[in-house]
Amino acid sequence: MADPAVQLTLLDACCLLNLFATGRIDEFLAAVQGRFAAAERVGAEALYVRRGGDGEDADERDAVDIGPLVARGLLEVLAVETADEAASYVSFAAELDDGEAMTCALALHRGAIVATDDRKALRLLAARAPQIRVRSTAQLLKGWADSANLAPTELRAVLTSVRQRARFAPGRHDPLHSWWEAALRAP
Amino acid sequence: MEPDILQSIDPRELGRRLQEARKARGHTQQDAAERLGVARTTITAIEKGERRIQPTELMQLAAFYGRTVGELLRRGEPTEAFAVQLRATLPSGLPVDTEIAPFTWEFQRLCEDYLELERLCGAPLPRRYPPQYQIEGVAPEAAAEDVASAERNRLGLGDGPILNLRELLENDVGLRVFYLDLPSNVAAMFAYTEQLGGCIAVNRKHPEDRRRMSLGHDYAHFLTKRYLPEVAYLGRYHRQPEQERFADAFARVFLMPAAGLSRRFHELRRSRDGRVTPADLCTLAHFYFVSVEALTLRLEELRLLPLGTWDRLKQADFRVREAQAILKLPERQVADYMLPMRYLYLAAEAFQRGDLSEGQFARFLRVDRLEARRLADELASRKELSDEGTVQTLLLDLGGTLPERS
Repeated sequence: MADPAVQLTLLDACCLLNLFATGRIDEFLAAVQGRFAAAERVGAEALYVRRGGDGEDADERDAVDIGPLVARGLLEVLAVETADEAASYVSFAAELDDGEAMTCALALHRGAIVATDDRKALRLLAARAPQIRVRSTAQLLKGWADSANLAPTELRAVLTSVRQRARFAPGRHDPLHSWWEAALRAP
Repeated sequence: MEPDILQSIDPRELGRRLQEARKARGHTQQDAAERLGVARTTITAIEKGERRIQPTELMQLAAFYGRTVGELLRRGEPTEAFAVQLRATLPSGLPVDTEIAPFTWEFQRLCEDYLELERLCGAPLPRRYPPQYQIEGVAPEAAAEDVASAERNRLGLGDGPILNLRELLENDVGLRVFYLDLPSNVAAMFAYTEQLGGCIAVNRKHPEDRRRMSLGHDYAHFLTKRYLPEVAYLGRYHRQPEQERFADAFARVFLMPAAGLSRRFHELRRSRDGRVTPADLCTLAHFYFVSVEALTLRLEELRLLPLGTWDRLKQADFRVREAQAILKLPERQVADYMLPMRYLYLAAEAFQRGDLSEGQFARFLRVDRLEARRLADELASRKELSDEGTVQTLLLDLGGTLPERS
């Protein structure tokens, strides 16, 4: 049974995809303090990453399968449980995709952190629920790299994998854009 | 504090969307009632807007109808449900209804999504629609010549080939054209509403020369019978009604106008000392970007070739693809995107501006997030030649405002 006192982070689909693309999401979830979860609608979304690498199959797609992570207790899947959560979910769903909306609604009522890079979701949260803390993919990975003392070569490999397999890099206006780019150039 | 959307939304609008979503899935009101554990009259009241739906009920119905909650909450008067009218045109007594039904609903949803993107970007689709042409009392083939000629004049097309028919109809006329993977015996679908304008869905599984004929056929419907939706089946009629003969003839004439085709054919024959070979037909068909069969039948129609020429070629086992390969005719560039390019760019613009979330962007494009990211990059990138002669990738701000002339 999850300890409600432990900080809960809800991974939006965009972050989940990016973390999966590291190839080391299980290590990340095991190493970083706190509970991690995905909203039920996020868990149900069909997500894929590129196989990546230098082989001819680099462009092949691999499905994101959270089943093993859930089975190992590293990731929870959470559903709307109360009338208030349902009302919030519907309210957010008028502006966001259902998975994003459910993530925000659950975070609002459970005091959770939202992990997302989505500009519209971030703007909506800032306007409607500024008390909700948010984390970006870059913040999550930097936190992990710092606490796990990842070697520069390891970190470079992780970020390269995210870029190649998930087609993601933080935008120019992201506060950690410079950190990300510098880490990619590290020898 | 988040707004109570279900209190502020027009319950009749929401009710209509729920009703359409239910029907699109083939469910009855009783099915929906059982799903929610309420009386059927409750569903009736919700769909009429007389009873406000509760959040948990909306969640359950969205899942039951295979829709997102967000889609059902879309603002604005729902468009006229042409999917139902399309299905009403289907031949009775044949088991086609269930096969085509999902595609009529998806066609409607794509058109509505297109309209929603235009609303988000403040970019309504410009229309250059002529008044409907009146062709009653005129022989179909003669009417086709008249209307096709008038349209070519109106659009400034001259008498040459139209290589980019889809783009012409989308950009110069203002039609919404989708390429969908329809059942193989369906050529195209056409519908029109005042809100959406003319909408055409062509079968992406057909070869491009067939798709162009289908586009021409449905364009003919738009020009003359705009308010009658249609599902065009291949080989549907043993004896074609006049309207169908007109539409087929229009497609041939619009793509292969008599004056230009005759002139080129005569030039070809003069250059060959009066002989025209099957290879010449292949070359001419390639020039007009039509099938060899369509080209040959058109030449027969214009009495430039003897009637029955195509039948004789078929009996002699003339292999078109082999001939084309031998002639090394270059493949025509075909962009068979499901969605119009303008639709893609509007979605990319809205996403780049942050007016669409990534999940919404992916849903509008009918792809998963990884593919949505790839498309977002592709649509916003341009290859440019620098002053040093190197190819660079330029990233565009798709939603940026261009400076006006002072």
